[in-house]
Amino acid sequence: MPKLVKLALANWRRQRLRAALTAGSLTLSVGAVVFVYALSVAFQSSGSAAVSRAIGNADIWVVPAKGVTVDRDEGEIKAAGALPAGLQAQIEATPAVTGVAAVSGSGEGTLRVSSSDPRRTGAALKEDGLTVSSDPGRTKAQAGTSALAYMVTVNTDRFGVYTFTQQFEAVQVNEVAASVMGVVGRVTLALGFFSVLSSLLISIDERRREFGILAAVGITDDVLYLFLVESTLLIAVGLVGGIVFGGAMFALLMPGIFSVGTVFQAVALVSVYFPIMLIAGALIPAWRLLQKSPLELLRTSP
Amino acid sequence: MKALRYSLRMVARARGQALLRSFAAAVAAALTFFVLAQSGTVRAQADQLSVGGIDAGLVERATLSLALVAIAVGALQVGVLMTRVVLQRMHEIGVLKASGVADRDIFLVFAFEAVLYGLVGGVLGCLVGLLISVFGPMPEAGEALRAAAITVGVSTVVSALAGIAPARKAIRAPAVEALSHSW
Repeated sequence: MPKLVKLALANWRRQRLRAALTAGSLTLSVGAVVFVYALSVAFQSSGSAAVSRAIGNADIWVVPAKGVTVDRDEGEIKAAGALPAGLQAQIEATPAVTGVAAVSGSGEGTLRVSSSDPRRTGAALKEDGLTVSSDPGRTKAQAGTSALAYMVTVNTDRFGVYTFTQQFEAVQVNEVAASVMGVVGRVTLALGFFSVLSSLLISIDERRREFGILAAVGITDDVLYLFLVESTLLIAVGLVGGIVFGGAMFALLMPGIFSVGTVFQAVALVSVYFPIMLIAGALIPAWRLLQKSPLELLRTSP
Repeated sequence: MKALRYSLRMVARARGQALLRSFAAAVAAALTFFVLAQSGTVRAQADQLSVGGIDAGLVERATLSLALVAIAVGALQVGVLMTRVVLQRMHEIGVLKASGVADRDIFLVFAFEAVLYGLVGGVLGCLVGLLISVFGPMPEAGEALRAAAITVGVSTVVSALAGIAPARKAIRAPAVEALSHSW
């Protein structure tokens, strides 16, 4: 094995430009994947982070456990099921609540809680056994739970003119946008894989002559191992380069939502999928090439 | 005209390689096209987002940087590809030069091929990108057209530049140098 690594490195040294171009092409693809994927992850988490940030001095909306549905025709929130009796009194007793109002036109069973400290109120509601979440998805509570979900929507100072319906829809739209980003991330992953694969295929094709000469002196199997070691080393270089490149681009272009964690998620995905798929994807064409007669390889070499 | 005919014949002779190169160029172009076309969708939703918790400026910035990265990576990828293609054929340049073909004609051969790969790759990439859009929301026609125009344009121009630069260098140098260039 060390001998093969030494040989592979010697091959690189001899063809510095070729190795550099292949590694550069791999770096570009991996970098693009890391960037787009990290962005889509960050986007999704920043969506929920933005909602939590809005807790600041927002109102708290209490909705029934069975959830709410948006009736687009009437432009209203319809609550599924009524609020349990006594809830209003219970909520009024929680700390920091300054007022409770049943909101008209927002469907039955929806309460608007004005609170001087929504975080404390939220914590108190949680202690009372109520499901507390700022995640709109959680307003659809699991069957059987009698708990209520509360949803913290946006800051009333800024968005006072919007109704609960509008705010709720905005959060939904937010999720849709995140899912578009998710699709973009996944497609980029697939395209990046094909991009890396095609650049490896070209690097196999470039070496027809070399393979032909080696096959002519009868060392086909060793050539395959040599190629495997060489392309593994190349992929490793491309992966590291791409991760650094993608991470640096992310930090440069989106400093607002950059975090090592999101980049690391993309890195984990890339480093799990790429090496396995690529070594298989590059090895099979190389093996097929070596099945041809050396004469043909030499004749068709570019 | 002679140069173009020679170029086409060379492409036809190495069909497999030509296919592989077009594929590589198409994948890079597909990335550019897809991200550009979808960034329109994300941007359209950003308008409604100003109501929600997320900062619309952030979405705008994300959309812009996505497009920027997609164009840059697609362009660089095609550039690297064309450089490799020309370097691979240094020997041919040497042979042509040594047999007395005018420098201008050799230049035309490589320029034509570079533009051809860029153009074919760009158009193929747009088609592939459009097919992939099935997984996401379909981009609007105007949005898709704009993305296609940018993709094909960038792919062709960068491919031409990346192909011409090394070819020009090789054509200017003595024939022996190009002949002894190993790849």
